[in-house]
Amino acid sequence: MADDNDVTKPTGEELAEEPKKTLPPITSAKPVGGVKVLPPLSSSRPVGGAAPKPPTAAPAKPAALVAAPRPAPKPVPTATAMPAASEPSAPPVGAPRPSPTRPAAEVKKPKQDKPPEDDPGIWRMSRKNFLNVAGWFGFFGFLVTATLGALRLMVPRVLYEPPSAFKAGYPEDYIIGEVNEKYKDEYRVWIVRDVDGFYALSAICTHLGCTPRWLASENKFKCPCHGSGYHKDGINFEGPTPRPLERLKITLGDDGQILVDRNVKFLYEKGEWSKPDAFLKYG
Amino acid sequence: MLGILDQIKAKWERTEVYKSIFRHTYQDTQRNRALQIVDNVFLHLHPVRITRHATNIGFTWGMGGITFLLFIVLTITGVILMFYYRPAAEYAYDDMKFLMNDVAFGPLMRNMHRWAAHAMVITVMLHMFRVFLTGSYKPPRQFNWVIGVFLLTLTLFLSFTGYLLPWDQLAIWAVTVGTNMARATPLLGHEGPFGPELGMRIDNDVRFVLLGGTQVGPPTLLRFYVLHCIFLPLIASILMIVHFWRIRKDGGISGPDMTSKKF
Repeated sequence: MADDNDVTKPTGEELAEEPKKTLPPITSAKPVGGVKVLPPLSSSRPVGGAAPKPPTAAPAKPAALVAAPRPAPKPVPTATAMPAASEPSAPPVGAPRPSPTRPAAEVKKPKQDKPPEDDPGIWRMSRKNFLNVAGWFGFFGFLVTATLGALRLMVPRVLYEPPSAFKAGYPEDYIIGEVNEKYKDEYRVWIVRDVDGFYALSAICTHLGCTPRWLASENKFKCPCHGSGYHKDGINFEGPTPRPLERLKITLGDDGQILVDRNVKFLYEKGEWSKPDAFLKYG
Repeated sequence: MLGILDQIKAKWERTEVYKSIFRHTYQDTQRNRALQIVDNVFLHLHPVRITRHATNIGFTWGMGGITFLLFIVLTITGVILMFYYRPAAEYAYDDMKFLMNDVAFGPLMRNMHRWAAHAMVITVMLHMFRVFLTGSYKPPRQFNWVIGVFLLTLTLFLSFTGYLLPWDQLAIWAVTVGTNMARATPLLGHEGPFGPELGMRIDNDVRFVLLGGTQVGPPTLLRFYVLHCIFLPLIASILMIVHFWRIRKDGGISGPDMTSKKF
């Protein structure tokens, strides 16, 4: 027994700060609680077995503490004092005498243990913990990568859709005042020949995206879905639609054909219809 | 003669096969009645014992159970429909017509699927309405209410994805209109608040991912098919498991306040 204590004492003092921090306040507060808190921190078995016993020693402990109060540099001396004091005064638990010393000895061992609130838990980097942390990093790294990859997979690189830009024939083939529906089926675009030139209207209803119809007899675009109506220039005048039809970029190509790019839109409400590419001037 | 049959029956009932399938007798005892529920993987969904008020149809309307029944009907009829339906633009509409005109019981299966789908949307809402009226969303059941909201969303999304599959004009334009709303998604839509600022274009926003293109087309049909037949039912099933399990954990079907003077 004495040997045990001698062995543990130096180790306890080498790493004095931490065990000191843990032990004295706890024991001073509540002897029983002190023994209860410590075992989970230390290696489980032997302490767990011994844990029930210290309470027998407990009644004696306050006395020892009062004698050598807080500043005590040694949690160990108090522990050694314990059995000495308790043996006479605490007979209720019969047999195991040597056991009270053992928890004290065991408690010293987890030197690196800090009080629970300072224990960084999984983030405590040590040789033992490294693979654990690395494993979790790997696991979540895999999950995140796989999720991002799956999301990217959902965005195709190639689309089998009609091209956004198309040639719409020669300007002289258009009749002044006519709404040309030749490209509506494939590209959803009307090309309107004005007195001054051309503009391209997107045949997508600005209400909810249906395809309106050009009613030549009524001189208006009319959406069959919810009844939105637009004048020939694309300005809305009836139905639920909140804004005019969109105009598309229309230019004259090098070969003299009209070029329409559906990717470039001009919105009336943003004043974009006055931009140069929104209207193709043609004598 | 009868004696021989009885002997065979008795012998059969002593075999390992019989005993491993039928784990207990069918005597009408309290214990056996409980065992019949507990020992059956399908029946054990139900508690062995329930409070009297839980059987009161006027209180629960049975709407959750009816919704689940409709989900089962939809699963079975849906699997049957999958035997004839190909989710490709060239075939989808013709396969649907083929089912309706040339497959024995095809119209029955398709109409059951269609009407059960409509009914399920209605019963889910009625279930939610009942839960709200009886205050069953209150603690400790608030978690299950949230699961239920997710299930409602999934039901609507299942309904929406199934809408496209006939691949007729109604389907295409309904889904065109429906998915155009996704353009205005905050942050993730190219016409939504802060969408363009975050680099959203028509060919990389959330609508594009949903459609597999910038407009409703063959990729959309395939996507909606997979969502409709695999992805959404799977997620819904998982959430339903949690939903049902949570009912038990939260103390069964909520009941009237037994402490009030009325009882």
